[in-house]
Amino acid sequence: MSPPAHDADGEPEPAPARPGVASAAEPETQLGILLVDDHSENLAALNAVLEPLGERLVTADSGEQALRALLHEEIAVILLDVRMAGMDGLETARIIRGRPRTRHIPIIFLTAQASDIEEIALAYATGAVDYVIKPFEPEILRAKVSVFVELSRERAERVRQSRARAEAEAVARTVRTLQILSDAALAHLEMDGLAAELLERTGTLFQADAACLLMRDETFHGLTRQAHRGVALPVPADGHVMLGAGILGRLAAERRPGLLRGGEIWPPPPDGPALLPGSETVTSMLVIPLVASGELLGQLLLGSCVPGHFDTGDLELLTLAGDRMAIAIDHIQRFAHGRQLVETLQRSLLPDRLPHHPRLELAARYLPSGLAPQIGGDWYDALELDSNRTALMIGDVVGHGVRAATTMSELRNALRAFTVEGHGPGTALHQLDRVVLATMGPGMIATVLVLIIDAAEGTVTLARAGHPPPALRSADGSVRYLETGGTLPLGIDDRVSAGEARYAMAPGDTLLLFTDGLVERRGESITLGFDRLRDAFGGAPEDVEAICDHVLAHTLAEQVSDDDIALLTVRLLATVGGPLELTLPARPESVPLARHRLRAWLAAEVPQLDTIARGDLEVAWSEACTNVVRHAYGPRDASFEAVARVDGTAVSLQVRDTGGWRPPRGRHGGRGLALMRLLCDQVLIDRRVDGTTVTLRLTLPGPSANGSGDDDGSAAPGSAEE
Amino acid sequence: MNGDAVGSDAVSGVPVGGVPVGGVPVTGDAVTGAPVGGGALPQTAAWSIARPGTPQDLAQVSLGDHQGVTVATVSGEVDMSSVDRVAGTLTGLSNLAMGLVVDLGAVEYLDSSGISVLHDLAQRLRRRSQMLIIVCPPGSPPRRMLELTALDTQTVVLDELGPAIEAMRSACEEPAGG
Repeated sequence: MSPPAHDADGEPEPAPARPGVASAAEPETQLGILLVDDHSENLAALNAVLEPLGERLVTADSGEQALRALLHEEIAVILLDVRMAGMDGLETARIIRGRPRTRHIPIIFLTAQASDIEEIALAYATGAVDYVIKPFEPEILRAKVSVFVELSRERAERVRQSRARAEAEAVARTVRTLQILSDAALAHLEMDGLAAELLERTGTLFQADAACLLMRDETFHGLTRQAHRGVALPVPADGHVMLGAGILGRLAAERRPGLLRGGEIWPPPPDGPALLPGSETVTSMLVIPLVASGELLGQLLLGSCVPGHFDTGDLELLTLAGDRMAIAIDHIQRFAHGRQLVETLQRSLLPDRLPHHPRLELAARYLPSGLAPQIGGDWYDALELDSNRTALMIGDVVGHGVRAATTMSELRNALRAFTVEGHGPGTALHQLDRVVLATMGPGMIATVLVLIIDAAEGTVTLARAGHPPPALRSADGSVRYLETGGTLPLGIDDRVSAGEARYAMAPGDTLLLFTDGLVERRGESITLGFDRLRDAFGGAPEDVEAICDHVLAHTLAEQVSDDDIALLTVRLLATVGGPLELTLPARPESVPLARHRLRAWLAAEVPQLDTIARGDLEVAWSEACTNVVRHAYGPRDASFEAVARVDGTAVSLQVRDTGGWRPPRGRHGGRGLALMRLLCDQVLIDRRVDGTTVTLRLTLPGPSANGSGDDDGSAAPGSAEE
Repeated sequence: MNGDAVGSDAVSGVPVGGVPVGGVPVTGDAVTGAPVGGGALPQTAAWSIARPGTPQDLAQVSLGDHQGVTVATVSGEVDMSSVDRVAGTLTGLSNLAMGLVVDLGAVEYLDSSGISVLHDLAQRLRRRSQMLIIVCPPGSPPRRMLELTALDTQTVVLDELGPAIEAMRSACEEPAGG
């Protein structure tokens, strides 16, 4: 009370002129100050004192009115007169403190009574409460209020920041969502579907009333509307936006994002008044360019009918999201021809299984072009002509895509027909060439290699049209290319007949057919590629599947290939009388492999066995292999040997491992062993420290019915069971 | 070419026992369960569009509903490398089902790995008072295994699917009737 002051009821201090208030807050950031006093002169005085703060002053002349005001006003500080008619200040404060929404609002009591101060101190020992004793010093009151206002502003700022953080997280989620959306869309959406999806998503995320996607149109220097949702946007009725024309065209030409409002969106016509905004008129708009790989792909527009709906933060976010969308659109445009169709075609072009010939082992690989999962022009095919002869074809149609695939399919079918009819490779190719020239028109160029393997003769007959020659690896590991004459590609001159050549193919020899993607590297002589392939093939393992993998691993360049690659490997197995000798990794997948090899071997070597007996041997052999895989090994790279031979009057199957074979445990192993005993005439298990050999024997049907008497033939000494 | 068809008859007889490795896609008339790998080519593997004989092609199994009876249709070759998938699907029978019909009609190969799974399945269903009927054509490779291991004496094995479904349906109605 020390500072001299005039009474609140007295002459109010004149308020400084409004323009002179330097700290006047922006309207959006003004905070509300509630002034409660039942004397209007006091309210006027408070108004005058606090106006320089530049905040929003709300007045109430009773406690009830104050409470009402608090219901719909955001208030930062309350100045509350204690002594009021009706509900007094203390009662009003109690109610304010009782409401969750207003509980935190600081209250400054205004009083002239010392007893009030004690009561206030008692009731509000804690919390943001203060008091001012009337008559008050304007500077002090203003200072107190401004402290609370600043506190409140800081708190609001913290809230805003945490909300901004939450928004930022939401944005990050949004971007991720968009990314997921675009990635998922790649798999199945065409451009139209993607555009609709993107508009739907962005429109929802940005609470837009309109969204539009304009795509670059090469037919004119501009953009064309691809998809649109919601109310009208300032895109011309024909959907065309010329680059550089109008605000959209200028933004697009400069690849700039834009935040537009009112008149920028709807420029007044030169000859008339400005358009009056209606409730359906876009008054706030975001424009972002869609750019991928340095190319302008299009432009995305979002519009809102709420004035000032979008801010620069929205623009930044949309620009960010736009980069992702552009990538998605770019992908889709590149694969515009429909992945599904391409995949189906590709699959239909390659045989889903290779023929089974007891004397041949076949394996194939197809690598799509590394640049894009589009269909390539390469294909291979294999078909069994009769019990001895198998035809293998491989080819490459120049070009990619659906057209190349269709051509490939026609070539494949025609070649199949000619080959099945009994034509040799040379004649088949010549006829194919005539078909190509007659039906496929100029510009269709393909290379093809056809070869027929006669397993009984031990020969391979081949002809090629512009295709790389196959490589032959002899049993000793040496590799040579099988040259032929007449190597013009198809579609050039059908008067030149493809030269046919025949080579010996001995048991154990392996042929490798391939397309040029395997030997060609950009900027390198193809001779190097052939040499590299020769080395890789020569150093590859025996198994045809392994050969494919090995050759690919050792010939492919580091960088992705822009050509597709087809590869077909065929091995001629030993002639009748030879044992089947396998060395396989001790892994589950070796069990069916061993069985399938035995199946072919049995069919070729012991045709006198009926299908039941062969099936029995398959099971017994599989059980022995299963036991090895299941019980014998820890390390992953362990291997085991499996040998099948005709041993006198019996079929002898041996499965040998080099680990500690534990006796079969549990129902399972016991069941396997029991089955072996049921299925074979003899089961010998030879356990040694360096490994275990299981020998299974089945006596062949024949003139001598008592063939199983002398059993020591292949059974190694050791603890024989049964 | 020369007339070489003569001495090769024995060789051409191969495919009788030599079934295609790829396996037959499931063709149940009311297959509701998603066929596991039903002949689909691997789409992710970059360079194995055609790679016959890989284990994922070896066996297929699907659960289907045939006139209210749950039928597990198994096909292909069931061995150590392919049995886990089959077992996983066979154990997916609802507690509420009366029982399960396992159709081995399209199974080309079955060994002790598959027998063990069927044996375990029979035991589990018995504990749960659910019925197991195995359908297996006489003379087929899996039937021979069922007989050799005497599993056909421990569980119901029928020749055809139709009677098996009928049997399961009548078994369902039995308790109500008495």
